[in-house]
Amino acid sequence: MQPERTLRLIRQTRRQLHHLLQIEPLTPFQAEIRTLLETLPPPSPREEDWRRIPVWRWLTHLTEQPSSPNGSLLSISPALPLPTIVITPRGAHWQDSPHASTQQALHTPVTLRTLPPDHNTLQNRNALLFPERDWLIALNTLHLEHVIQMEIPDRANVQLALIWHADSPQRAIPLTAYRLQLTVGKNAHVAILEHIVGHHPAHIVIEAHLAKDAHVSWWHLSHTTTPPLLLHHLAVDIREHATWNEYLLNTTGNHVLFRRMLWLSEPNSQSQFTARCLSDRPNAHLALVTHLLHMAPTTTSNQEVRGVVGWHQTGTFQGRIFVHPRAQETSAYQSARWIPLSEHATVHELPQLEILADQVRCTHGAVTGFPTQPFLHYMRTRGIPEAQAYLLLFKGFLMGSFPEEVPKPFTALIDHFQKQALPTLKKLLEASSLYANARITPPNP
Amino acid sequence: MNQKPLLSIRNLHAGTEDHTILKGVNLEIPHGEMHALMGPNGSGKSTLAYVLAGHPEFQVFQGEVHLEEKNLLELSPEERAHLGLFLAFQHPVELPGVSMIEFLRTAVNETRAAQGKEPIPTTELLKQIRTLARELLGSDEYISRNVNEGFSGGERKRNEILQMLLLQPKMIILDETDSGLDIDGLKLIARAVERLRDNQRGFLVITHYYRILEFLKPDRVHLLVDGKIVASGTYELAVEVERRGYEAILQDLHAPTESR
Ligand SMILES: Nc1ncnc2c1ncn2[C@@H]1O[C@H](COP(=O)(O)OP(=O)(O)O)[C@@H](O)[C@H]1O
Ligand SMILES: [Mg+2]
Repeated sequence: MQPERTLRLIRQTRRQLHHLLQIEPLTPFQAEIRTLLETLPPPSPREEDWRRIPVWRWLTHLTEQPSSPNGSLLSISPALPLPTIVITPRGAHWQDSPHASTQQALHTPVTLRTLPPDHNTLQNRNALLFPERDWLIALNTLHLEHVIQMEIPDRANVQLALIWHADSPQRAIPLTAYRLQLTVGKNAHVAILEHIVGHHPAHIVIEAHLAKDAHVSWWHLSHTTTPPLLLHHLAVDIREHATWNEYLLNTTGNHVLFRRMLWLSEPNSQSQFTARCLSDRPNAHLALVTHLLHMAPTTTSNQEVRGVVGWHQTGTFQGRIFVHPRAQETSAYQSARWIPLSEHATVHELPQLEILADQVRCTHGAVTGFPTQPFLHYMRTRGIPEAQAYLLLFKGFLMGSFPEEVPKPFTALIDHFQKQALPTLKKLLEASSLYANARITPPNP
Repeated sequence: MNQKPLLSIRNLHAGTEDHTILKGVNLEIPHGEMHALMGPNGSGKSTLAYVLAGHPEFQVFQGEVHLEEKNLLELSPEERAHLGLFLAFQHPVELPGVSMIEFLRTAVNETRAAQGKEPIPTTELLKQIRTLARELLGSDEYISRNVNEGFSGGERKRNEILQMLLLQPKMIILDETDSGLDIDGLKLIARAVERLRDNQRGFLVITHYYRILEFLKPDRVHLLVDGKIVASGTYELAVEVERRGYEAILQDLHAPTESR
């Protein structure tokens, strides 16, 4: 390929990436609020940290890496008992794992289409019609005007896995971007496990709309096959009595940004966010940026972020809570706890509360570090060596105390996540000067 | 016959960096004996237990502690546990996010590994833990929880006893395991302790109530006041403490004629 052409493409990609950092608001009113929020001064210059992602370096570096379209979530769990939707870039071929045929047939009432309809793009259109097969959609991923729409009808009960394939077969365009519009009907119960596979930088934009009484539990799982540069933007509009529960389990990545904006737009809408973060990359920056907009009375939000950073890693949580004057009797709770394991690791906890109603319960807790001493001694008196004790404690910190029951089909994957996180946690602890005395011994068989 | 006592404490001075709490404690517990340690609040009973268990908050300024021929003071808390020392804490902490099963399995298998034994197969260990949980906590539902998380005070004490029965230690220190328990709980724990009593194990039962001693009938009773053992005797000493209170006994001790 001509160098000029590569450069042009990369420049184009960068422009696009920059453009993508903005999510389209859902309604004009939301747009107004959004503008208001966006024009507020950032809580600290740190906001620039996650905006100044060295895209250029990534793009040039990653073009050299071979693309691997076979990295598969399906290989994680031999029998993933879930209907699975795989979305791949045009031209990429997705290889089913040998076990894919044993998967449960897809009997979900979900409608999936692309906008604008494009028969060239929807290569495997027919696959949609075969209940034995998973959906496979191929999109031209550089044009975000191409939107994937997913509709879940009223009263449906749906559990599925959604896999984004982030390796572009056109290696000169090393960015994969997708945009999903999800509508969940009244009283529908939905559990979605989201996973992104590939080496190329990925940008995912999800706009979700929850009708009255809908209940969504959304699980985002990262794995070693997840792209090292991931921008994940989520905008959710939650209507009356609807609930959005989100779980983020991140174990890898170099630049990971989760940016979420939630509108609790009608009375009694609820949202919960539970995040557990670490990364196996020494210079990782994991950033969670959340905007919660309580627009109606008696709305509830609850966010709990926990992370462990070591080496030269950075962890950021920026939580903005906005409570509209008419959103009385709202309760908003957020807590962030990052544990830095090395003196070169950095954590930023940047709460920003803007509360314009007067009957509001709002708490923000940000804690750095972890008082390990009383716990450690207790464990050691039971014969557990110091290093093992640390590992148990940090494992407990990251993986224990989940607020909600894991949907049955997801348990194998959550287990897998835990197994995946453990060696990383071990390495982080081993590298930590703070715990230099604790020597990790191989665990008992 | 073992010549050395199981536990011997000689002239132990210990405390925090700027505060001496134990001021010359001497105590010997031979194999197979149960000793009780009584004393008013703040006399240093828990401090003694913590020092024996190697709590980093406390420092030893002077003195020696041996478990059989091993110098305990130069060992880490886990090494002491591997030798068979066990402390049932007065205030057991909760371990956030650490599951009972994983905690107990790691404790049992690490201890066994240090003693050169094979790990117990998980299914068998689970069976043991279940049985103990039903017996001591009334339900095996507890083992799917995190360690002490949401446990009441009494449940935490019973959980300490569960761990004692599971680990089968050689030298057992119970720090006020009886306080905060109702009479049924007390009997349950006394029976559990009785079960481990044999001619090899040693016990140090710290309490300031007479109640549990009625069930356990210790071989010796010691009185700790202001960081020193001021009186030692048979079970009768505990009876006297119960009848007359610490104050009266202390006054007798300060009188010139010392009876004990
Ligand atoms: N960590 C500590 N720092 C300072 N003083 C302490 C500490 N722990 C205990 N003490 C003091 O040591 C004394 C003995 O306490 P403790 O051993 O708990 O008594 P007991 O168990 O006999 O009631 C008390 O005066 C107590 O306040
Ligand atoms: Mg005490």
